[in-house]
Amino acid sequence: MNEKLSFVIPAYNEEESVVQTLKDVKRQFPKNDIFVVNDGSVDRTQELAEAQGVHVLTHVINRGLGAALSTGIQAAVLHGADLIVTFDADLQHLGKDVYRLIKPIQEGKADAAIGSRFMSKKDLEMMPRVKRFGNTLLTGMTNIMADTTITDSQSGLRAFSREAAEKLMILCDKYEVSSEIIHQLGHHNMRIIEIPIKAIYDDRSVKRGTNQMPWKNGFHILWSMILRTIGVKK
Amino acid sequence: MELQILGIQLVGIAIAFLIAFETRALHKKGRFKRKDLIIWSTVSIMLFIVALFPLTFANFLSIFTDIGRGLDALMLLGLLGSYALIFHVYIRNQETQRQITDLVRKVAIRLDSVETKKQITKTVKKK
Repeated sequence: MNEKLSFVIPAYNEEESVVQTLKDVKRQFPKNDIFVVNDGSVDRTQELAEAQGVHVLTHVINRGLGAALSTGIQAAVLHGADLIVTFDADLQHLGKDVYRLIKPIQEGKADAAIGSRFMSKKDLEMMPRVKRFGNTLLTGMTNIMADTTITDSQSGLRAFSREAAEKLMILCDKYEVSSEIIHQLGHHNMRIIEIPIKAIYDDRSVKRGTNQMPWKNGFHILWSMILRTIGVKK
Repeated sequence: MELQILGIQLVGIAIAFLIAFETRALHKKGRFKRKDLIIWSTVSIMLFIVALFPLTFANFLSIFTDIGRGLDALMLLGLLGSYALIFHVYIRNQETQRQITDLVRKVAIRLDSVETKKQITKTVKKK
């Protein structure tokens, strides 16, 4: 692997899972840069991540998932990353899935790869029903508005070539960032590929992130997409 | 009918006073610039005049806007003005949010680069 691969891990109050997440990533990719974006956590996320010897970028106040991802991607580009992987800090993703995710980009077959939780029906059963419904709806809307044909627009496991990462201008601060990324990749005619991944949901993870208020977050993402489509929001 | 109008007038006057007092207090605390003081004091004075002489103002508006009933014109204009104000506040809020995020991001990246430099210096010194 000649390309410089960097990981961007947004984390907000993830003291229970950040260490295990970092250990999993480091086990698979011991020599790669890892950028944890501590998004204004009020628990021990920063301290625990720093103890793992990774870059910890701290937002002094909470700005949301989109803002954290954008900070991490910018930092990775500044540190000369050729390939950037975004990875959730809630133990939902497996480090070993990243090999399959980055392969098409390394081979020059794609500019961006999305880890899809919807390509394997067996693994999909683990996803809470309300989340499955919301994701299907939001992915459908994203595909219509971004002119893409993906199966999982809300996946947190993604990989970008440096070129694609540099073209991304993330303006959404909150959860709508996932749709915004797809929208922008489509807008820039980037080649997007989807790779089936396994997502793990335990009692803890189903109570966090977009799962906390799925309807509210879902409507917020939808509203943001509509505003962007009619040009009110960039 | 007259009492109803008087009630609405009183509400208008009360809001005008509230804006005036709040503006003055904020200016005293240094949280409002002179420009804000002038703008919001003017708004409160205008509101006070309109609340005190609604019919005179409505008649003037009726001629100016070509809408038959003056009070309808006043209501319509007030509503449209509120929409414009809400949109303006929304845009300003979006811009402020974006600036805050930019600032927070710059601080995070700068602090990380300082930390990275420290680590490099430590490693070089050890060698």
